[in-house]
Amino acid sequence: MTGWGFGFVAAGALALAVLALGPLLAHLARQSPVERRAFGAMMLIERLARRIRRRRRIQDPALLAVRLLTVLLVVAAVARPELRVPDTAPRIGGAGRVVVVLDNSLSMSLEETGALPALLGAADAGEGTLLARARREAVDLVGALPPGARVGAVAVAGGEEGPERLLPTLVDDHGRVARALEAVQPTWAGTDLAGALREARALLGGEPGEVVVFTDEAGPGTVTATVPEIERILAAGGRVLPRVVRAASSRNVTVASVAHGGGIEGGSLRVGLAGYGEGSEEAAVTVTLPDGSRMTAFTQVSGCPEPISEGTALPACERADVLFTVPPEVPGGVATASLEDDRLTSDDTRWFHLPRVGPSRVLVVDGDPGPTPIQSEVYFLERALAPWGNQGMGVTPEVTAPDGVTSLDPERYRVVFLANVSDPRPLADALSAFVRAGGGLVITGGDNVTPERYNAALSTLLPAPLRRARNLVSFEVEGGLPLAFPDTGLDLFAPFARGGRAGFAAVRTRRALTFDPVPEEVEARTLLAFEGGLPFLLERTVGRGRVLVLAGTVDLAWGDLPLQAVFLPFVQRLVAFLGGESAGGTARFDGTVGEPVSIPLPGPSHRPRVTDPDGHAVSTRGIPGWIRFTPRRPGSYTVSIEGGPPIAWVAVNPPAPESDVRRQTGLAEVEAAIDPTRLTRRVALGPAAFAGALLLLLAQAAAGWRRLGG
Amino acid sequence: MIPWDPEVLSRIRRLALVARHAVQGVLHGEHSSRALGPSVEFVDYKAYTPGDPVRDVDWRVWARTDRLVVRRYQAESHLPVVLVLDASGDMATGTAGGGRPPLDTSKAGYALCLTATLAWYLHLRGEPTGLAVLGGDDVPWRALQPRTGRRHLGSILGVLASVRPAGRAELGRGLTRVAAGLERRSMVVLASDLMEEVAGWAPALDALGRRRTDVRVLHLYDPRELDLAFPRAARFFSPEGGAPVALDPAGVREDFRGVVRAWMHEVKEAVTAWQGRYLPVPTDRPLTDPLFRLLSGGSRRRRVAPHAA
Repeated sequence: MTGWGFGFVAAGALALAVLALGPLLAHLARQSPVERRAFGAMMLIERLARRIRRRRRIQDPALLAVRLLTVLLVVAAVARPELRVPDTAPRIGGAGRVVVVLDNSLSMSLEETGALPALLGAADAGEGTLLARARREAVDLVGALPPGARVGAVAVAGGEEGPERLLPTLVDDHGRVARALEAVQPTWAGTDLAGALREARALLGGEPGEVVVFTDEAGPGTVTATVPEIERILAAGGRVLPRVVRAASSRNVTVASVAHGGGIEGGSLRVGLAGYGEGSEEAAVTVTLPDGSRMTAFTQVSGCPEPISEGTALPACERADVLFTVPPEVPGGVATASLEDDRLTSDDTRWFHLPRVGPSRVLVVDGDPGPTPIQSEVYFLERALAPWGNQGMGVTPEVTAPDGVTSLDPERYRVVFLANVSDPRPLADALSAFVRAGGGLVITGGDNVTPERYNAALSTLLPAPLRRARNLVSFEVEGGLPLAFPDTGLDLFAPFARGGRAGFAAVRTRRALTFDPVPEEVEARTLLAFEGGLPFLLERTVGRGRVLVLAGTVDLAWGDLPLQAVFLPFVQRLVAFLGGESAGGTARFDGTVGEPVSIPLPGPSHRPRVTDPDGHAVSTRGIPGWIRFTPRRPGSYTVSIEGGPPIAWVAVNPPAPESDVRRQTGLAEVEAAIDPTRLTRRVALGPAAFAGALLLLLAQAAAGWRRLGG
Repeated sequence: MIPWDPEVLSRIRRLALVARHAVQGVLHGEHSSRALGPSVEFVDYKAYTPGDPVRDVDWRVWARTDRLVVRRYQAESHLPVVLVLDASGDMATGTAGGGRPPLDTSKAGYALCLTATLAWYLHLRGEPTGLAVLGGDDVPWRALQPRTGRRHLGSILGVLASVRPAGRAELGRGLTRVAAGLERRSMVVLASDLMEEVAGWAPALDALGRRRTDVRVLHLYDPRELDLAFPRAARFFSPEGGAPVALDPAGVREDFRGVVRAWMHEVKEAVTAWQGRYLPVPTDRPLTDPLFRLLSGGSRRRRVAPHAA
């Protein structure tokens, strides 16, 4: 609402105020009459003078003031003064078209009276909240509209992409509109007032009408984003009439951020709390880890004083950080940090991704166990993976036979070694899903490897079709074919840039798998080769995972790689490269309620399925290579492939601006800024000033006439 | 010669000047002396006190009431009259001013005619008549002691004919001087506009009263002047001096009337407080009016002055 104002249409005319010097000078000069008259009763005149002198002390200044006022009023009349007063809002419905916009965003769930937190979704959910009051007032407004007025309704949140029309068009049935408004439920979505006004404008169809907005105007930038829509509504002759619904005390505490960092045991979780509004309070923060374990801590959270500057995304409010120590081993997944806040419960929980904490698990599939451990295919590999045994440090290998593999969970294993397995066909699907979900697969050669079976079962994973193994040198000859120096520009070999690169050249291989040429459509490359260019290590990216094929063996059957000093760091680096640092990381996404989430798919042949925190399927939209959905509530969403393990986790949180329940720039201010005159009534004071001057002149004339005895 | 009004003179002749005060003069006539003495006209009784003449004891009252009272009588005598003329500059105002005033327009002219008429009347009555002129220029004699005779009358008329209003009258000082020159009980007739503060001349009037002088004040005023009946604003000034005052008569007329009323009341109270007689004399009236009132009023005031007891 605009304030009172005053101004002059022709302010230049105020220069005429110098005319006021006329009566002033005349008053000061007070010309004496010219005529002289001898008078025999001067004694009485002197008495009279004493008598009237006291009166003149009052009358003369008053007369001067009246004359000055007369001149100034005339000047003011010429300058055309005008008073700008806030216009009284006309009766809603006068234009015949009304659209009621009801804000059901998250911030509208703020409890007004500090009652117990309402459970969203319950039958009486939201009672005592801002939304409940706004709903009642909106229904009352619709009921009070004049008959015949066409009414529409828009909910700020609720549609697939945000605001939605509660009724497709304007209707005459006010009861129907009221019922639609009563059915509006609270949401976790943000305040898209601009979108709601756009829908309201579409309902009006370009005709003049009134858009009555029931909102708390919370959230930085929420209202200023409506400027274009308000301009369009005003241009069409419409009006935006805000009905601000606010709690007497706006106070809210929310979990603003969670960050996992280093530290003792499994590292630390830094939970950031933000307080909005006046005052401070103690908050109990509880972190629930993916395995269900809980940790609680208390802290004091201060608030942000009002007002804040408009447009600040997340104002620099008083924050409080709480540190939690993560246990040494925690499975990765979506965890929560929540606190108790009895005013706005919807933003009290924040979902976040917690990477797997603890040693990396590597599954080693031994295709040639042998009669004794030392004769096992993976003896050296197992030692290279865990030089100090399974002490919870570094990598924890699990060795199994091929028939012992049932499922491959990317969250459980980061890398799978397929060592000299003769028939990979039973594992093909699991391996494919595992790799596409981000797992790392290393296939090593050996006498058991049958290229035909591999090419048939793992064609989608192999960087290149396998050929039969062949001898690189005569077995009677000592040594073998050396490896070329690796390219330390590659990520895999980057750690060897500081030393050890020559160790690869010491490796001698007498026999190795060979490959067909790499197909053009396959994204594969040679990471390491023998001297002469024969590939030794090939890589292919599949989905979010990688597949490496080692042309040699990890035992001493085809070469001396396990005996070389570079073997252990090379194996450790393989694990880190394939999944030790990013296992599942590419499958973790963050989302916001009401905003679309797009996730890349591991392959075109898969049909992903998205489930919400309750396990219900979420409608999705498929675009080539991607899946897209819009979360309607916060929590942990899972993207999985039919019959396969999850390929992505999405931690969805409420929109952060909704937590800021303090007062922001209002719609009325925005509307007034767009068109200052629209909400202002101009009252011309020129005629009144002129009439006043005329009255004063008449009064002076009458007084003069009376003095003359007329 | 003074242009006498024949009508006035004829009317004056029909009136008798009845003196109210008994004088101790040797001339007994129609005047009743204010002094008590062997006379034929009974006044009243008083309680007998040692020293009172025994022949004045009323024995019949003693016989009825057993109280001794003496009878008191009023004696008749000639009464010297001093005509005091205010010739100050203010008296020259009216419709004309400056020079010797016309005898029928200004206050001074009216006063001259009135004074001359009284002198002529008193001469006809044989009363000793004196003259004192307060203020004025070209005054041959400031004071003429009360005398009779045609020559003396000519002197009075000569003074009146030659006086020119000017200066200040200073009534208080003038009346005190007149009182000092009175040898016995007499009458003082003051013709003035009294345009001086009452506090300045009231004590002198008091002194005359204490001398048992019959004081009669002819208060001359110009009704047009006291009504501020002037059409335009002007700078009003006093012929006696002082700073002029710019005034719009229309704007202050009502207030001025209030001032005049208060002043007239003040003057009357001051004159009558000492048994003087106050006669307002508007100058737009014929001369006979104030004369009739002056001469006829004396018979209604035949009583004992408080100083006689």
